[in-house]
Amino acid sequence: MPIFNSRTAARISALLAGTALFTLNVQAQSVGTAAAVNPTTEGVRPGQAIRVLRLGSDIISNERINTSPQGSTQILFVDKTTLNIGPGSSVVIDQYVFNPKTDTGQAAITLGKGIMRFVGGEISHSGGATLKTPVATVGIRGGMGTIEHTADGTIYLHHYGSATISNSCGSVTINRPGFSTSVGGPNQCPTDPEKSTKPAIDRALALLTSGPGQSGGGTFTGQGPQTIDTPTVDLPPDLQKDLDDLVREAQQDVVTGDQHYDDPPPSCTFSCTGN
Amino acid sequence: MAEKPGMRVALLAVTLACGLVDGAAAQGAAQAQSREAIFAQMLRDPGNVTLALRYAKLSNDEGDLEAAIGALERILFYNPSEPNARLYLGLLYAKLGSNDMARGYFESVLQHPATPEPIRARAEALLAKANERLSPHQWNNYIRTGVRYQSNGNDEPDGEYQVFDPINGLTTVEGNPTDDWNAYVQTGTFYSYDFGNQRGDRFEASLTTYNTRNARFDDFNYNMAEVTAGIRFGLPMENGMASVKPYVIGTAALLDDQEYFHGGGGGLVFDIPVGKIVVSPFAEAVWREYENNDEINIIGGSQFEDRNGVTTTAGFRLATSTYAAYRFNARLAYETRDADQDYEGFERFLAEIQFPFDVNIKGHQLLITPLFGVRYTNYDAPDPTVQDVDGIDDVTREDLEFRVGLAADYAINDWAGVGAQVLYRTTDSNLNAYETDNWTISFGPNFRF
Repeated sequence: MPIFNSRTAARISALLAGTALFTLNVQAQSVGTAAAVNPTTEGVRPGQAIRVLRLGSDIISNERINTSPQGSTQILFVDKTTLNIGPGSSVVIDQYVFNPKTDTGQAAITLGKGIMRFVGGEISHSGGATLKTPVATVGIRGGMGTIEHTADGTIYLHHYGSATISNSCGSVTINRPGFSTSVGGPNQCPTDPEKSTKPAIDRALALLTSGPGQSGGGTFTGQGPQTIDTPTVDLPPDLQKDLDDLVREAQQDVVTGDQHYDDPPPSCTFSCTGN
Repeated sequence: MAEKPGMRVALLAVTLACGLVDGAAAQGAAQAQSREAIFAQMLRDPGNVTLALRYAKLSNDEGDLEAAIGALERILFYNPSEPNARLYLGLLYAKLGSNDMARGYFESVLQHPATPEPIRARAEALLAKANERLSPHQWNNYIRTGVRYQSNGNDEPDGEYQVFDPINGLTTVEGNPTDDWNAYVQTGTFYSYDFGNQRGDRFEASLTTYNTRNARFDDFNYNMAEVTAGIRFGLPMENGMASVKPYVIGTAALLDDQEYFHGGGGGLVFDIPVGKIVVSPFAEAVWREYENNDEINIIGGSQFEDRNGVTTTAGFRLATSTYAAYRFNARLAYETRDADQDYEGFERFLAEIQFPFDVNIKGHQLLITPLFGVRYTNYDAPDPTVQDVDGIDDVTREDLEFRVGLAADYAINDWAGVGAQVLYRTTDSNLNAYETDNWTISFGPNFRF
């Protein structure tokens, strides 16, 4: 009897097909969603045609996201990380693995050009988040940062948590919000951290949200495109009140937090007579 | 030692507090589940602003400010002109210490020509605060004042006790705890200078004062001032920023408008983040020199100068981070005093804990703080002038003091509020002369600037 007969061939074929299907399913598993999209923003999956991203589009691991000079997007990942991508950017989700039972995982995201802000979720809390540019690698732990890469190199603005910026020349670690570093080239060491400049912060704030006339795909504004000259379009009244209440609470939190910071020492808690 | 009625109240308060903590923990677990459910909905329906706002609030309440920031930045994508979304983002970044981002958001609200006037005024106030925080010079000041009632203003036992002096010999004294009112003023000034380096090193100094005027027992009129100064060095750690601060301290006090003591010393304190808690081990040694006052009677007949010596304290504080959803502050310490007279020297163990929590009342914050404390003091030698009820003169004093209380602070605005506190203190001692109870009720305004 031949070792390799038609029955064996059928079994092997089924096994290969099943493996391929399983692999495809793993590769195609959604890692997040496009939670806000300004055109033109495109997604490119390995081996597939370019697709235009819209609000609610699934994002998968190994997907490349490109924005036009007017485009921008926010990706919401399943571990609660958000990634704001600004205009003229090219970003690849190199790796994304998340275990919801243990709230741990690994994420590696490459910024080929442009600007993005990473607001860490569960993966970064366990130290598994890495951002890359052509000249540097940023390891983020439990934090937030903005990274921009242009022809002049990479600049990293640190907002919270801890970040280590490294390349073949050396590395620096930033633990303090409001500090930044820059890397001129792959063989140039990251600069010593220094206070972020106001223009750099203002630029990041302006680029990483909708521009004039854009609405991120949302429709609740209800009155058409906005420009910088049109009056503010109010949220629906119930949402306006909710947001107003949140601002008041947060403002009081900040005041109370200042009070907690400099709460008087427990002098006289036990005795004021020096005994 | 006979049970005191006040102890039952103290035990009831502890039981109630445990119930509150249990209830808060259960509520926290339910809230976390709700947030996870809303997040799952958001992934399916990311453009739903109602869900995003609710998620932002729950995240803020649980101390996950990054999640709240992500949700608000998404809302801003949909409506980049929405001023309250920008204000809220600025406040969230401010809570994380990212004051440059906060300033940027507050400024953007003012730059939009159509921002409504009430929101513009709010943004101006917040921008001023952000600029203050970005300055290397930081000043924080407070004044607390008011009136205080004490059920045992003269700190006397309720019962007989024995004292001995060479002239009168052994005498039985009837304790006469008497109530009293006083007016008090407590002030604090804190200054820090940020050296601007990445470690966050800064110079810190403080001046605190405490002053009372009593209605009945002016012997206990008290004025105290304490100055500290030191440099806090940042210590980068894998999970955050720790720090260490060596400091010097100077202190002086008046009793009944005459010098009571003066002294000085130094110490070392660490702040080490461990998860959502900051652990602060500390050690301090302070020398005090007391001045006798013939007009003030001390139980027994010892003199203030008998207390001259060095008090050494070591222990640690525990505190949740400032914006944690559920907070507590605790202190555990071991203290010794090496006094000129052994019977004024002691070793002491103390523990105290507070559980502050905020209640929002129509946009104003009410801070409620249950507090508990215990202090055990064992003196080094018998005081020959104070004896136990059986007239035995070689009993070394041991005191066990419990303290339970409730404080409430209501913020009227950013710089003023009113506060009240009810405190019960009971001391059990092996010498009747030191078995005391005291109820304290105080209330009055407080100011911060």
